[in-house]
Amino acid sequence: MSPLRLGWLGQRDDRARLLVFLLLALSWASLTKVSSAGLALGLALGLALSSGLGPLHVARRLRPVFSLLFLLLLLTPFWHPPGAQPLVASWAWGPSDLGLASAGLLSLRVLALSTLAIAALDVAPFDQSLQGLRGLGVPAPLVHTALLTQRALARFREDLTRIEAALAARGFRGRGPSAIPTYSAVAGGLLVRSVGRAERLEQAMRCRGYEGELILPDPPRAGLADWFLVLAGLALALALPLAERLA
Amino acid sequence: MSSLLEARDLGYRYPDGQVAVEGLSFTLAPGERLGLVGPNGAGKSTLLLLLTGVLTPSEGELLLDGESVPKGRLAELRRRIGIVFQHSDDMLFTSRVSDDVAFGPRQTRLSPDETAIRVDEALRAVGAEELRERVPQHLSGGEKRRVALASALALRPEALLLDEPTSDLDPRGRRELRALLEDLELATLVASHDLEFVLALCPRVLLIDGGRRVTCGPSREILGDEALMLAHGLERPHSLTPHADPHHPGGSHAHAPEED
Repeated sequence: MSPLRLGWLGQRDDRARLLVFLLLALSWASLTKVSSAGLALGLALGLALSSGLGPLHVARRLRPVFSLLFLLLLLTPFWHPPGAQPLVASWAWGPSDLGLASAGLLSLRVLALSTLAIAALDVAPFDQSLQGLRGLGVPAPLVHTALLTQRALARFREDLTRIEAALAARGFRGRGPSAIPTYSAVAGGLLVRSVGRAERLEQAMRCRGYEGELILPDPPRAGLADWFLVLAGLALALALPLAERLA
Repeated sequence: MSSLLEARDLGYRYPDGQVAVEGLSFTLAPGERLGLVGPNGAGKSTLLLLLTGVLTPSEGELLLDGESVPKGRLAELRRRIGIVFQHSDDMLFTSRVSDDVAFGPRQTRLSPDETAIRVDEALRAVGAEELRERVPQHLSGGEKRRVALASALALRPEALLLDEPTSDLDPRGRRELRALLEDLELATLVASHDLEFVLALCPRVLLIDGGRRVTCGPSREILGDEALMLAHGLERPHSLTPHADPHHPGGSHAHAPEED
């Protein structure tokens, strides 16, 4: 795999990037108008695409969100808040005007926040973002656990893939109640392996100077561009809710 | 010859009382390459963990530069004695190669500049500069081995303990590792079932079985003793059998010094 090439947003101070993401997320989550939520989605997309993420990448990452939205769009229009009028007069329990507006608003907000999260997290390596969170005051044990979990999950997946191949090679199809004991054995085996691996990992860490506290590199000093990013993010976070109130 | 590392009547029992290592003594001189051979369950891996202070000996003592290593000197011991585990994956626990190599220097609180120098130096020493930004799970077995070695070298150890270093290497990787270890000029203890590799790399071997020392001496003499090898679940390396090809990689490089 080629190394991740950082776009302009990825090159910013991790704390600044994540702080802007948090400010915008808090602000955009409270939007109440479809038009401003649509504008927020446009801004999030612009941010993602201009910072080097391809449209295909963004679409692929949004795929699980679309699945969630499908359910939302299917059910929310049938919501009848006080004052709602049915869209079809003869079908009182059918979709309502306010229900449909809520579905649109919720969908746009979810899409805007998800796209924003993609822009914030996918523009730099995950461990770098975690170190940024540490710089923002997230407790060290949480950050360290997340750092180590990332690699542990990758190894867990490798194990699972190997076990699945071994089961398939012996004719296991994994269907029906008869497969349950096999799945239980696999889960137990994976757990035992993980415990053994955790022990060896701790030994490896101790051999390289670990004494119970992970020491991460100090974040670099924030530059002018980083401060500009924070100020621009703050302005943007205030702008949309303010515009809604003034409108 | 003065010893860098010395085990004196070292013993270790597992919590269930089972003896893993018993009364084991040997020395490792600065710059020396010593092979550690024995059948499965002989206590090789446990011995390596004892030598790095990961396990605490139940009996005997460990000496560094001729002085006993108490608990207070464990950090120094771990800085001066590097270890590469049998499974390189166990040593690669961050999501980027450069972070893994930098782990040791950071934990020993070296400055960021010094850490960067150590990372460059270690990756260069193992020829893995191009792997710097790679993700460990996308590396081949040989690449993982080199990165694991770099992560140990980043602490600039005086001795390197290698547990089954050739277990996941193809012949080319094995050749490259041997050349690399020969170039390092560090005291090296190689625990391995790959007796050809041990023969080619280490002039002296320590044979252990059931946690006890069987013998220690010139590699060609010990590994070439078929009866001794068979008695301890091993086989004489092919290159030491009569009529073996003298140009075989393990055949002509082992120069044995005097036994300690």
